[in-house]
Amino acid sequence: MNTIVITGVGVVSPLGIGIDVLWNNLLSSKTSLQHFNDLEAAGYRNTSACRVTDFEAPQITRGACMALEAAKQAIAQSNIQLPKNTGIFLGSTLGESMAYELAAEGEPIDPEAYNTFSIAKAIADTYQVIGPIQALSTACTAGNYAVGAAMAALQRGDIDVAIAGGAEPFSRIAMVGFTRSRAMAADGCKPFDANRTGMVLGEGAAIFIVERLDDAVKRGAMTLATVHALGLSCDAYHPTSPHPDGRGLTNAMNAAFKKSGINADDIDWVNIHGSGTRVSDAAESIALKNVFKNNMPLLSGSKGAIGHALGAASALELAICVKGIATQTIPPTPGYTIQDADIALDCTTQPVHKKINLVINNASAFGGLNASLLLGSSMY
Amino acid sequence: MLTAHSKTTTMNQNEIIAQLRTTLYDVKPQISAAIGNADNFRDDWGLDSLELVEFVARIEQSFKILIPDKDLKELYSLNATATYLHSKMIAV
Repeated sequence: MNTIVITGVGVVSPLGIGIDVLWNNLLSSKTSLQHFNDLEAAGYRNTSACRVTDFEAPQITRGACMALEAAKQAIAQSNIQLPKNTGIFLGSTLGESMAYELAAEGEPIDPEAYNTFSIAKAIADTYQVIGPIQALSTACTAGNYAVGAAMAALQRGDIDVAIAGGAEPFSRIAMVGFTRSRAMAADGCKPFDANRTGMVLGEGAAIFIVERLDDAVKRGAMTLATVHALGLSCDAYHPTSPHPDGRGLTNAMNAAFKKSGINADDIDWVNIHGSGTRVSDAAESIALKNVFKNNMPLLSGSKGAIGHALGAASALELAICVKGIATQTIPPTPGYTIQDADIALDCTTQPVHKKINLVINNASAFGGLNASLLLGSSMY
Repeated sequence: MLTAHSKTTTMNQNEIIAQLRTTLYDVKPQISAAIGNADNFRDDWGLDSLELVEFVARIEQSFKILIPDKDLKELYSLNATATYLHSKMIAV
């Protein structure tokens, strides 16, 4: 089986554009959460969010513009000449949701032209590549799904290089939907914390250059991380709630171990999904105990800093995992301060410098979807 | 934050319950007309969390009221919901 590696990372996030800016702000436990006057003026119940305030783009193609900026960074870092058969693997929950709003208001817009595929196609058109395109609308697991799909295509030999990741522009539809379903936090996202009250909406994009290790070595590229396996599962339980016994993420993490032949005991760090909702965090904590038992790795989460960017969330957090591996540092968990008695697990509150060989990036989504991406250092 | 619609200030408990029944059937048409005023939405009639928040959202719209998250646990039956709405109207 070919070893698959990441050789480039690009990020557009509410905590900064570029992985280094995001990383440095995250290490300082900064949060991008702020009040927005436009949301208040429009009568939204929740007026706080994590938005990318220093990125200008047409509203109707904001997702594609963020993805293109992230792709540009990733390609530059990888220093790669993209082959014609480069594949595009892009995850998003809603695509360009502003287009749907405008269409609903009577604008002559074809919503089909602004779905998740439109973002993937924008990348293909920009770089004039003609490999396969996969648009993955698997909600909040979409980033992990996309990188996993890229990995599979590379291992099959379908393509030589993949551009993979997730993109999600800020969505007023999502803002209303999550508010109506009472999932929004009253005072910021607090992953795994005793006083957590819900999630905070974010936005952004993270794109990766993924290729076979042999090819990367041949062209002298620097490998940032190894993609070992993607474990997938579905709770098949409820449209929005995870099964309370944590079976979804348990099965996803175990699937990643089974596919890779790696043992749970060897995991150094888990980037938790940690949405900050009562039930999702509780279910994830049970899954972690099911899998790791008495050998719990260090846990961190970043949604308290960058919000929940839906289809881009697991891609943004994967970028954090890659940077963590590269710097052998686990970031703090903004928003986490007090251990929840029921969860009984701690998250990092400061940067932790340690040997990191293997990390799991967890993601869960409405529909009961779960995706655990197992990532390793380039030396492991 | 809570404001009551002027119409609801003139409604008595039975009238509020009648309106709540209609809203409940709209949210979950499978629910029986035999639902008792004291029946628990979740335990007796199996409303899940999504159906309950949809029910509350429609109450907010029809009664022109904002119900904070911390009060949701008080809305567990037709009687309890009507009592809650009535108390808020008196408090206004």
